[in-house]
Amino acid sequence: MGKMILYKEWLKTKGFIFGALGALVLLVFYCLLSIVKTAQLNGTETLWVLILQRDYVLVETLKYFPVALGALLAVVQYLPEISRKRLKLTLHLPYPQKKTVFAMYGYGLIVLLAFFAFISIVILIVFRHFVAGELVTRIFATVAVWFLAGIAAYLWGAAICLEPTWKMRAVLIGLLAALLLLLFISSTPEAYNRILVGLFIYVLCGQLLVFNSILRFKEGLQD
Amino acid sequence: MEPVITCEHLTHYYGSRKIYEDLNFEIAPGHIVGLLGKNGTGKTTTINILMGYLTPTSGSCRIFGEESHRISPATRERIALLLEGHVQYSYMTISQIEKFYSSFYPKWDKDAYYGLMEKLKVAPGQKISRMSNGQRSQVSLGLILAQNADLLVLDDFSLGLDPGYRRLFCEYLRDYVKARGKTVFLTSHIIQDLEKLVDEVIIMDYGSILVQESAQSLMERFPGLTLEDIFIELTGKY
Amino acid sequence: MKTAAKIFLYISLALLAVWVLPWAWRIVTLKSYSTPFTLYSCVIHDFTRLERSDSKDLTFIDRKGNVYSDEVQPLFYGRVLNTKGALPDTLEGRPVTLALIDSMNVVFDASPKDFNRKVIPVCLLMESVPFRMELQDPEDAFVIRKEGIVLYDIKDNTVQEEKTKAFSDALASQGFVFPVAQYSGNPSHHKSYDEGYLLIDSAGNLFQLKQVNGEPYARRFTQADGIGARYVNITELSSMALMGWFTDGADNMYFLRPDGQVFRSDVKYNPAKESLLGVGDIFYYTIKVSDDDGEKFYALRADDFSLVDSMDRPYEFEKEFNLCKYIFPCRLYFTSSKETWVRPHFVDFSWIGLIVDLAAIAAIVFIRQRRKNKARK
Repeated sequence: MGKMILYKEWLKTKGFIFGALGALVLLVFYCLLSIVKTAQLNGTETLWVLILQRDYVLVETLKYFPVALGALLAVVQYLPEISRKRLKLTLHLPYPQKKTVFAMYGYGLIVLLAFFAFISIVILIVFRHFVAGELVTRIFATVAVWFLAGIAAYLWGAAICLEPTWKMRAVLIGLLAALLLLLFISSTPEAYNRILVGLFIYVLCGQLLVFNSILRFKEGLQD
Repeated sequence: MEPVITCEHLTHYYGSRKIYEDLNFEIAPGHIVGLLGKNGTGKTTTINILMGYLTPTSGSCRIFGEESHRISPATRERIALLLEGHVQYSYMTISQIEKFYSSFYPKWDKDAYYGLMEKLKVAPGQKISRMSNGQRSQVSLGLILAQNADLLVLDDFSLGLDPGYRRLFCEYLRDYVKARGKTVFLTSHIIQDLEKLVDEVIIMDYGSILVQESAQSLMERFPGLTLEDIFIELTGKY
Repeated sequence: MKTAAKIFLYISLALLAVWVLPWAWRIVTLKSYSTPFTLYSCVIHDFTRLERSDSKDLTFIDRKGNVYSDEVQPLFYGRVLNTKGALPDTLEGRPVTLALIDSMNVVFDASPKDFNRKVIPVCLLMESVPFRMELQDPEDAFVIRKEGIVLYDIKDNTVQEEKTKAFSDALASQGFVFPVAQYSGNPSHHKSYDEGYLLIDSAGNLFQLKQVNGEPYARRFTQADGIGARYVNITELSSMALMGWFTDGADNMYFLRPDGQVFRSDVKYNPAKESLLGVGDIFYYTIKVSDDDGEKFYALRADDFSLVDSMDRPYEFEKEFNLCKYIFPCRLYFTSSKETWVRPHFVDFSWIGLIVDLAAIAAIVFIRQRRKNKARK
């Protein structure tokens, strides 16, 4: 039965996923083309210099893709549930409601992780060819924060969409804006190393907000 | 026999606006009960409380003996729910939605669903979002009937339907329910549809229940009047 | 689940409040503050601060309040004085020319941000003695690992086994003990010469490593043995008078000459917490060490870095009304000018703010409960 929840979410979001995949492929292609051209025209050593002396990670083109993906996926997945209160149908299914909710946002997290895995594999394959492992690690450590922003936008976005009152939505939007500001406040690579684990735990706590919004929906709260 | 639905001392406010106070009613198994009332008297509120989508200010409701805000999955399997406007997963096709729902209901009756879908004359790959209101109501009806539930809860089942589809819906539902001895609890704005459908009527006014009795005895108390006339008589003209 | 979500929300809102609101208050009430440029004078042998007179001329004021023209700083303003024909022929008994002054004037600085950052253990390695004597972009890099260094050809990202062995042996022959504790280098061709890298090993000893004609050159600064170097910074000044500086665990500052001589100074400086500005000339180095409370100036002799004079200048901020102290129990910020790390800093703890907030929360809970009870009745 849990698999059918995933099936439902897939039917709802497959158009968006294919579109996002297409956009990502174009972005990655553009990013790789820039890197290859830089290496061809100025020498591969330029890539080392850019990373070591200019604090570049060479994949800046992808910086805001994860957060945009997370936010849009939340909207595409949860707005239809709230529209005409279709969520009532989902919660009425003869399946434990907690498992239903978990399956819904679990699906979204799996989709995000699949996209992030694709980006990670491309980074690993391409950059291992050009620079030392330590520099690839630097790129990953920097990109990890962008991925976290994507997960935060998704979980908080889900909670915002599912929340029945505009007052609480405004509070959640304010919190999400502050969290994203924090995640993008510094563009220095590896600046977040010391708080990455803490940030990861905090972002995952966004699951509580999803459940909270659904509980508030079930209480019938309204503006 | 234990009632299917029991509501006791039900009171609800939206802010400071009272919807009703100390509402009490029961629904026995095998009955088709219609909940009537003017706009804002609390019909959808009652459905929402019953289905656990609204916490009442005070009082309680039980369905099959379970508290309405804590209905177990096993009990939800016995309840078929129709939301007003025949709301469904409109991004699915009729075959996709059947595949989805059938996995949750072990007693799923595929023939009941596809028997109704044949009358629709739409392609199996057509999305529900591309159908008319009437076609959507048939899809919803098919899903409800296929669930083979013991209790059918229908909130404003005639919303947005033309007379043709309303009649089709009522006839199909009545035949199905009577053949299988199901319990039905429904609301509707269009009272003439209920006349031939319901066994029992609950008429609500602002704040309380005016009448709860069998349709037959109500019609006998007001001879020569239709159910709609009786409703207006009891609730007063606008 | 609902309780956990509520707790999470309240904590998040509280953190947001102590982060955003004090920040907004500081933005609104921010006032500019600057301190005058201060330099030790070889003419009057005192610190002079630079001010603009009413007629917009540059004036220099010593600690006693005496006012001078730019002639009190002939080495810093050598070119200006020379155009005016006012450059003296001798200073401190030594003949001076503009060319000599230009070659010996140096400026170097450091900020806590240079040290409080994620250090990538990858160092670009230049050829220190290039073919045409013009420094070229680096073609090699060495990666610092726990057990040693690995040399890479950065043109094709391949490990150079022979060079790795050569450089590792060179360091080992000098007694280098891995892992590397700290290092400093400037692999840029925008300088007149290259001295490679200064490295501190795990025993706190100081070394130099560079590439000369493709071969490793490693040197141990024996005069720094036993000091316990903690932070090091290469300067590569155009005057070649100074190779770099380093500090020990007690924040004593040492100066390093290219010939390997180490001079301990009386300067107290913690690179992780304080900013450094050094302005040097033929005779003296004026070292400014600044932190959140003020500035300390040291005048050191250029030949042996011994202390000639020193001066403290605490900041004189106006004591303005700090509203945040009365509203918030603390202030939270995530970024600092002293480091590149993004991490939470809780500062300015206030008992008054805590009591006010607890009273406000109690009042809100009380009012909401009363409203609920009223609604029920």
